[in-house]
Amino acid sequence: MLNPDQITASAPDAASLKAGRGLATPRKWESAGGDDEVLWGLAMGSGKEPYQTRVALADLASKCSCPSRKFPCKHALGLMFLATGEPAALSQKERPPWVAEWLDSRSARQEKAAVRAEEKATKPVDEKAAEKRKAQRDNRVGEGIALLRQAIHDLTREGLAAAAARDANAWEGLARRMVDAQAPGLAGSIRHLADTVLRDPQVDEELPLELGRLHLLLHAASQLEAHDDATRAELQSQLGLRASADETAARESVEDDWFVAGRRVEERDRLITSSSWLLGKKSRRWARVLRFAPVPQTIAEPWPLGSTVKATLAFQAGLLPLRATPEGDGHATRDPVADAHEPTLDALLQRFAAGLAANPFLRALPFLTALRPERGLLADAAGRALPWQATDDVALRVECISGGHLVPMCGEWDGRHLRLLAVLDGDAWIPLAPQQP
Amino acid sequence: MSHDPLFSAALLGTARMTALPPAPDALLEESWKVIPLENPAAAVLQALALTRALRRAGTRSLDAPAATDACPPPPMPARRNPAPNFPPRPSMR
Repeated sequence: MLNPDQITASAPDAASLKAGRGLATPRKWESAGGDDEVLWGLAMGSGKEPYQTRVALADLASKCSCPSRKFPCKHALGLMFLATGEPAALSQKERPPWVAEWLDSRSARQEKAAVRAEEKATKPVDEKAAEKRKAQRDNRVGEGIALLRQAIHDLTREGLAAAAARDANAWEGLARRMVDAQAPGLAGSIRHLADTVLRDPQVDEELPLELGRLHLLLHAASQLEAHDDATRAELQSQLGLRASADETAARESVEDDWFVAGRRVEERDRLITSSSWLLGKKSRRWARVLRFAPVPQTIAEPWPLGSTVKATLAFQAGLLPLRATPEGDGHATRDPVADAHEPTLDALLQRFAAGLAANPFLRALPFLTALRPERGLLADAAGRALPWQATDDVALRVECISGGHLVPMCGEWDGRHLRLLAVLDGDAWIPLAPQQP
Repeated sequence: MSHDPLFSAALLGTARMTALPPAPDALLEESWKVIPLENPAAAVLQALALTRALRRAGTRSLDAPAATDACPPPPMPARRNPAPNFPPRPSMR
């Protein structure tokens, strides 16, 4: 299933998207065709020869003979938009040789990669070397934890109102030290302090509270082996350590029809992260699916916002498992109707309190509830309300879409504010968070 | 600046602190008693972690303000189904 949201999400930048939309007309194509697996076309460009453009529908991979270095190029985007807008224009049904050759070379590469992966998996593990590597890594992480604990204690001893505790550059320096110490999760926590907490109007309360959370994490992580399996897995995940093969094998798999309720795409240190919240229609369970791509690549999201995907998700172990990895590609259908997860905001507060009791490191939980905006608050059907944080632009869009009525909204609650990710307008889910880095 | 003694201690520094400020809520008093005081900075940070969990988990919803001027439903909702195909016009020739 190919739809305009998916194509838009795969565009490398706004200029390519605009140019791609301009090519979504049969006049710009000498010939075009497609089948269940691939789209192809000869795009009329400025050169003598038309550009040979092909797009694989399984993963939206593309190849074009144009000189552009962008992936996908405007011709590939145009071909995809043409396929969704005017499918009749793709009249050619027989694959030209240059399309078949491309598909053959792709499948040959994939087969080679699969063989290499199998060889790697079956290769006898040098246990001694692996143990040595693990010991080295544990040592580095331990040094990072000790360094950060000492830094936080020193700052608290001197006072968190002092300039040293409010210096974002100093926190960034500490974050880099944590990356060097192979604890990227700690680097992420520190960057949250520098990027969000130091800019919070309530910084005098939020900075001490967030440092309290970080202190608890460091204290618990410094005695990792003393905890049960779930706590240890949670701490490893908070530190950003990779799960061991045993832990990966022990993941809980849940098969369901997953509704793609909200998504946010961000870039940091030339790494693009797409974070999607999925709600299981049968299990009523939330899952967070992350996808990554290095700049200048883009993330081709196979599951558009507002679609329902029949898939199996493997949940990472932890105190409150939310992060999940898809097993296979899943099958997305355009089914935007999703029941509200909770009828009221009080039910969300109860779930959040239970979540924090299970996992004291929890920052936010997703929600899908019918709400209406009213004077800086979002109100539910029961007449209860919670503070809402949004930019002026997002607030105006939500007010216009709701028209003062209750409409289904998806977002996150962090214990202080609701933040919206998507809102239902008619039968279309409108994203309210960046879908491009 | 916060008037809570725990936050004041964290913001002004724990170098001269001799005792942990009182628990902000009766629910935390038992936990407060077991916080070790050898390192005052660590003790304050541990107390702050407990306070964070209590505050975040204890948020209560507010009374929603009365809805003011909700838009009336649109008089002519957009048509969901495409218009039926009419038979082609007879040729003039």
